[in-house]
Amino acid sequence: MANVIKLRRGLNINLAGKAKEESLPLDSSEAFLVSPDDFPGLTPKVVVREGEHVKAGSVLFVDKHCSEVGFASPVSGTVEAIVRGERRKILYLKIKADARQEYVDFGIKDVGALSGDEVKNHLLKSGLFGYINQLPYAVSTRPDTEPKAIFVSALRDMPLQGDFLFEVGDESRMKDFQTGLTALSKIAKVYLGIGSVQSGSVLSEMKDVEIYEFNGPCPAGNVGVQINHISPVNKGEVVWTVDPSSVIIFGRLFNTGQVDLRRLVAIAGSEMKRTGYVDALIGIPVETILKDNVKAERNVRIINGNPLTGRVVTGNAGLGAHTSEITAIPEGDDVNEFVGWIMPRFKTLSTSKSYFSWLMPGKEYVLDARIKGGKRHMIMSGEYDRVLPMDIYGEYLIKAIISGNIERQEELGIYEVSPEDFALAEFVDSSKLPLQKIVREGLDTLRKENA
Amino acid sequence: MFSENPINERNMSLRNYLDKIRPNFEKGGKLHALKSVYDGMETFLYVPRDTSKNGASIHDAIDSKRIMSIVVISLLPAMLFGMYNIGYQNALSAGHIGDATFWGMFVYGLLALLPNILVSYIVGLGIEFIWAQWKGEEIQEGYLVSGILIPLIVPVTIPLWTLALAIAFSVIFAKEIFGGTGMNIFNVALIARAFLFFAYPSKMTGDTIWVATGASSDWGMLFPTVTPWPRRWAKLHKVGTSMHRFQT
Repeated sequence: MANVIKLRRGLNINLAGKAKEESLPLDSSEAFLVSPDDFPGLTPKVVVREGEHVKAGSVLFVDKHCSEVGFASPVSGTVEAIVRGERRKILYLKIKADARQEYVDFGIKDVGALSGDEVKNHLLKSGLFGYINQLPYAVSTRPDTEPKAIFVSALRDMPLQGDFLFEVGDESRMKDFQTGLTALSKIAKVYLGIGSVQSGSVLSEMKDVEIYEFNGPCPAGNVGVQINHISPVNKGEVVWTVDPSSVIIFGRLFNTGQVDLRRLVAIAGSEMKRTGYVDALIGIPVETILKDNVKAERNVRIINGNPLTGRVVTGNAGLGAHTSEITAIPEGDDVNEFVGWIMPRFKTLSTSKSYFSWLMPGKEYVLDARIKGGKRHMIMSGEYDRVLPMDIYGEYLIKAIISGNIERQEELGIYEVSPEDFALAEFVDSSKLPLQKIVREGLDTLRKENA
Repeated sequence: MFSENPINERNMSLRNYLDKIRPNFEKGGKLHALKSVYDGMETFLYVPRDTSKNGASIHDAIDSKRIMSIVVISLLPAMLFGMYNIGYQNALSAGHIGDATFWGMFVYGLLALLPNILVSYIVGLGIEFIWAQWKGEEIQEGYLVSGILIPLIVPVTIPLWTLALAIAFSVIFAKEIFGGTGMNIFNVALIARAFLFFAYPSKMTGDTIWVATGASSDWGMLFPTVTPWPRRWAKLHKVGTSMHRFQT
């Protein structure tokens, strides 16, 4: 039967504005913005020109170091602009969608009859392979890696994250999810991590996978945490991790022969007028999704993702490739708290017993984006380990990354972590260090050293 | 009571005033040398409005200031008892414990300890401010805790110049050269005590009890004698003998 793993460390943050389980209307959009930044560790090379016509599923850009890995276009249309930033870094590609969509036909395949290599090649051809990430380094993977296993985490427990059980409640999406899992199981053994609230649902009946149930607070849904408990990554080993909505997209490819990059996105946050879910294509402009739905009394921060791990939307942005929710929280740059550090602060959340949140366990909080303190050296010990349910010493790992000591990083388990594992640690940190940025830079440096 | 409203009219004028004088403290401004002082004051009065630029968008309300100030508040009961105890030991050594009142003993101890606390904070925070300005960083709150610990662990009749010297040594050599708060490998307060121990071993051995003696009695209250500082060491050896309140 399903294996149950109990996790004790972690923290559930109760934010106001959880997405209600209802569908919201979505306008159609002519402009689509596809960004290579959605794929971590990727050096993109654009293979289309401005003005060129593309079909949905044709390749827009490839990995510079491995040109087999291409990335598909969500819509058919003309490439209107390739917008670059400083030092010619590609910010996004703007595509003007046709009125009638044309899809590249990759052929309907029966996944049961395919071999692992055939599945891999099919994903490469259709421009979907890059949606698979890998550990170590937490980057978009390449086909020459031999994974010892593939991990999919169907539990989404970060604050305000979109519920995957709701997404897979739809019959066709569930079929696509199963097809996707079966296809991946041809390449390597697939482990599916579900949460204790999801056990007993359709997710526990998925075939061709080994199901692990995780019982514990956030970040039990992080795939890195799950890997650490199921089968830790040692030096020299590679595992693949796939977002569950991407598995649905893979399944759709095999079932319909077309690349259909639709995902169910939660609209959540205290500054949203209406919360719910939308079925949107990757790349649709965020402002189309949020049309008239954001409260305008204060400065609002729109996040492509959840408030802990998501990316802030500045200017034009399209729905990210791995984004499962769009959240809106107050920015907070107009808040003046007079001697706030000594005030009781009943309205803010803190894990410390020097405030009063621990007396009000069920309360929902409206948190803004302020850091609420100055950046300091690490003063308090044990803060990170309290919210990191992995078998690593998080605090010492961060110190090793900051000081650049690569041997020590390897000893402490840098190959097992990804930045999102430290999102909660960054939340509770009293020294306000940018932990996710530190870990990301450490992983990138290590990847370059080892290459 | 101050509320957490985003717009708090009562304090807008103070916030506006701080924003108005900020350019004087930036680079090129007249008072650039006091930038650390301005930053320290500003973050003391108002929680910084900076929002997170990368990584997690939301943060816990706990920060270094809150932690350090909670520790200081937690130490206050011990300090208050210590003040009472100084007065109690004085009355005990004079043999007139029956006549001494609670408030008399407490105020005696308060006035004996107060110079130590003032010197501790003035010297320690002064060094911290200067060092922060020199490094171009924010003032760190680590010294708030050390500053109240040091008067609690040194003899109460220590000459103030000796105390200042010990604090300067400890803050500079046991904290700042390692990189400031959080980077030190030794506890700052205990290094101050260790410095005193090695510099004045005969006076710090602990074979005599440190009792504050010396008093002048005006208005029926006890006041520790204000003597020229070097003579404060001399008091230590006159335990129970001369110059106390009840001597006529």
